[in-house]
Amino acid sequence: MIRTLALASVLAIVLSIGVLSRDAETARSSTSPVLHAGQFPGGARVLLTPDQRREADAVGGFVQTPLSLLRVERPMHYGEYKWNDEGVPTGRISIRVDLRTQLLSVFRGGHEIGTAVVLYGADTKETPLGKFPILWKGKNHRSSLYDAPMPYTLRLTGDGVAIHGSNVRWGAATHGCIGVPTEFASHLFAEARVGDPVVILRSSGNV
Amino acid sequence: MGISRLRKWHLGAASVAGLAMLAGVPTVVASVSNQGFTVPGASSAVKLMAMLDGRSPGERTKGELAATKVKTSAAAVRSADPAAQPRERALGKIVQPKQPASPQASNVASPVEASAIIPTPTLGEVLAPRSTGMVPGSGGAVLPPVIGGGGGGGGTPGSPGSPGTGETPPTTPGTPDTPPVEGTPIVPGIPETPPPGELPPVIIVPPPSGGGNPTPETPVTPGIDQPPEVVTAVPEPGTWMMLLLGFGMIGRAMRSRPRRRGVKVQGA
Repeated sequence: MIRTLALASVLAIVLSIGVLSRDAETARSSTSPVLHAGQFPGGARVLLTPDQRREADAVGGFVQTPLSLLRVERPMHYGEYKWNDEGVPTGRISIRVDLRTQLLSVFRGGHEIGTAVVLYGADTKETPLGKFPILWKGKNHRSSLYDAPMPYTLRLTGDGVAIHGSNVRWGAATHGCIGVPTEFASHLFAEARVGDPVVILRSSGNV
Repeated sequence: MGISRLRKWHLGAASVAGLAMLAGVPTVVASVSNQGFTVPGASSAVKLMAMLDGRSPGERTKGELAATKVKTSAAAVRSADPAAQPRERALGKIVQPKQPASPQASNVASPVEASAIIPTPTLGEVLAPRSTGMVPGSGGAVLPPVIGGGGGGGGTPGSPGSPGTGETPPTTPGTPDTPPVEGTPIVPGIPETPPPGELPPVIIVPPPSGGGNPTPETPVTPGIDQPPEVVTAVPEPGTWMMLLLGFGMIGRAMRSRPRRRGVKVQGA
């Protein structure tokens, strides 16, 4: 009697571990892909649960419902960035910039492949909010308004707002552009194509 | 014959107990991870915005801005000449500190302001309105209650507060079909989940005008201003029942052991 009970409970625990380690979304929805943690080597990625995906849709700013994020354990410093696209299928990218958290996230196929701390426009020269397609790419652009280098420029608006490499540090702001670390800008420049959407928003902070 | 029936009892009890444990494991894991233990692979219980906020160096404060692109080039020029006189940095624009109740800062007047302008019905009145006071369609006083999304404690008098959401109060006969005291008004940007156990007095706020924020820094985040509150995991009643039934069956199986083993069965 006890043996059968013990056997049944061990079986139940093994089954439950098996179920939990798999993405439960596959059982409920036919549209989302089957994701396994082993698909992305090195534990560099956090797969999002269905609740987190719903939260992402509610919060907004994600062009496509995100499926995974890069694993970032501590707060990032100014000038710090992460870029990792191992295991992520190729495709078009989308960019999300949150001015409140001063972060930029690059997604490809729903998986985050890069994130960086950004500089954005000063209060007198605010960065506009909204969804902007990349209009133009320029590797060694120089600002005609301000006579300043803008390496790896991804132009977003007609009046000069762009994402470009810059010296991201505390206490600095731009005249409306989004400044990212120059190395990160080079990765982003290689991936981005004209027409890719960039969403700039300021999320509310009541988490 | 008796033995095979006993075997069936054993298997039944074991399977029910196993199922109860199976159902219980996810809730245990979720509750443990919610309490802050670092269970490996338990980032599923963390909110997405919390994960994104955890990476952030924080919001940019007003005093932080010391330089812009133009100023850095000027500073470089200045630093190249050590004998140069120190220059004051001219402010391009004097920025007044934002008033807490400025219309730009939030779409919603602060509770103090709102109560001064508009009589706010107490929660009791909202739930059981006076027949004399409620004249639907009479304008400002009987707008659907709307809670400002700015404050952290705001929430609609939703599900736990007003039973029978949307039912017209019976004390107003002959009213047209616009129940003024609906439990959950649909206002874009206002959350629908009230904070647990807390229902602040209703604040009536006129809906934001279409161009209420004409400046370009209007936040365009769609959807909810306040994310849903964190609720600790509680097993479903069905799960509890399964667990108790399983234990009951185990007990019954243990009672009905064959006497020849010498186990004394006590009680009925």
